Amino acid sequence: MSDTQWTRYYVFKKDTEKTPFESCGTVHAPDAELALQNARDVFVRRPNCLELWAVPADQVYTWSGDEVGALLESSMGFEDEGEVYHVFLKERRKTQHLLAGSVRGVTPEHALRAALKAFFSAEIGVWRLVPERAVLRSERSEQPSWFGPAYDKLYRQPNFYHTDSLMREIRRRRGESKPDED
Amino acid sequence: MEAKTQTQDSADEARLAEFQARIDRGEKIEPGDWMPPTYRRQLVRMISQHAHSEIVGMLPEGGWITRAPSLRRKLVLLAKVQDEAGHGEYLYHAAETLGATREEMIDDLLSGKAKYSNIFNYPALTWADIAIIGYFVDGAAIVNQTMLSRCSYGPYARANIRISAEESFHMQQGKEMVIKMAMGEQELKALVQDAINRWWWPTLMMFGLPDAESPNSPALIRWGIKTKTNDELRQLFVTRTVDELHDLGLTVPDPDLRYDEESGDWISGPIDWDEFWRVVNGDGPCNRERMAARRKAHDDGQWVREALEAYAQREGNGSSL
Repeated sequence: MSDTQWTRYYVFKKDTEKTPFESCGTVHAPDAELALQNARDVFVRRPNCLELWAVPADQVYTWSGDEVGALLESSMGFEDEGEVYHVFLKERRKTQHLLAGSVRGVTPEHALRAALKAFFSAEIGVWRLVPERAVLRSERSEQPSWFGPAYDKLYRQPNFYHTDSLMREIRRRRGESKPDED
Repeated sequence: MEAKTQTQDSADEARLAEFQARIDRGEKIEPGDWMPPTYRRQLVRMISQHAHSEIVGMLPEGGWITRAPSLRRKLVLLAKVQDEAGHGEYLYHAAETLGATREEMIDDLLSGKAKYSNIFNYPALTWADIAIIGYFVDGAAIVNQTMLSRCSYGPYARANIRISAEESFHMQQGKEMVIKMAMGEQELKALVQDAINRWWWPTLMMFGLPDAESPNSPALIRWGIKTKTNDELRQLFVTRTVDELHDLGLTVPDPDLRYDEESGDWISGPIDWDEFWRVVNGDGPCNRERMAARRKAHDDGQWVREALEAYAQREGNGSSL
C-alpha cells in the first residue's frame, strides 16, 4: 500500500429532508470512519447537510445507459429478492447522480435488473448501485455537532460582502463630483 | 494486416463520430464511456494542473494567516485557504476517474515534473497583496471555472460547479478589501495600487498563451472541454476589471491600454511572454520556495499518515475491506 493513495470511498450526501441523496464524489482514507470525516471536511464546509454516507469504491457498481439497454427486456419479469441496493441515476445531459429509490438483489447484476424494472428511462446515462450493507453513515443524532458549525460561518457566503452596493455608492459619488456636462 | 488496420480505423472513426454526436447533443461523457485517447490525455493534463494550482495556491496566502490585521480578516482567510485544499481534493478525484492516481499526481508535483499555475510563483509582499489575490487571481479563476462548469466531461464539470459556487466568496472578500483600501487614506490607496502594479500582468498570463500560439484550443473547444478561447476569457476579465478599477480611482500598469468604442472593451498592450516562460521554467521569484514548502508539508505529514494506517490495520477495518 502506497503512502498517500489509500482506499477510495464514494461519498453520498443528503442536504435537506426534501432533497434526495446525491453521489457527490470520492475521498481517500485508511478506513471507513476516517472516510466519513474526510467527506465532511471536503464536501460539507458550508450548510446544508443532514446525512453523509461513505462506501468503499469496490462496493459501488456503475453501468452506463448504453450498457444496460440490452438487459431491459429480460429484466421485466424479474423478482425482487436478496439484499437491499440503493439506486442512483444520472440523466445524460445533467451532472447530478440522485437517489431514485431502493431495490433488492441477490447479486449486483440481479439488483441492476430490479432497478431497470423499476426506474428505466432511455434518458438515464449512468446507473449506480450501492449495497446497503457497505454503507457507513453519519448519525442523525450527531447532525448538530457534525454539520452545525458550518451555519455560523456566514463569511463563507459571497453575499456576506456588500461589494455591489459599495461600488454603486462609489459610482454615484463620482458622478456627483464630475463637472456638469450640459 | 493492412485490411485489419483499415477495419480498425473505420471502427475508430465510427466511435469518434458517435462520441462527437453525444457532445453536440449536450450529453456529459462519464468515466466508463468510450473517449478518444487525446480527450483523456488533455483532461488529465488540465485537471491535474488545476488540482496542483489549488494546493500550491494555499502557500502565498497561508503565510499571511498569522499576520491578518483583524480577527474577522483572519477567519475569512483561514476559511478561504481551507477551501483551496478542498478544491484540490475535488480535482485530484476528478482526474482519478480517468485512470491517473492521486499518488502519481502528487509525486509529479513534488518532483517538479508537473506544473501548477504560474501566478503562485510570485510573492505576496503586503496585506494589500492578499486583497488583490482575491480580487484578481480568484476573479480570473472564476472566469475560467464558470466556463469549465459546462465541460463535456461529467466529473470535471461537477468539480467546477462546486468550486465556482465556493470561489465567489474568495473574490468578493478580496474585492471588498480593495474597495475599502481605495476609499481609505492616501497611504492605503498607494499600497493597493502597488499590489495592482505587481499582480496585473501575471494575472493576465493566467489565461494561457494567445489563441494563435495555443495548439490544443480547437480540439478542446470541439470536444466541449472548453467553450471559450484563452483570449476570449482574458478579454472578459480585462474589461470587467478595468472598469471597476477606474471607478475606484485606481489604474492598471499598461501604457498601451485603450478603449475600443465599437466593442466596448478595454484592449491591453502586449503581454511579456518571455517573462512567462522564464517563470514557468523555474526562474520566478518564488518557484524554489513554493516547492520547498510543499515538500516540507508532505514530509511533515508522514507520521500522521503512518499513524492513521497503523490504527486502521489494528482495528481491522483498513483498506483490505
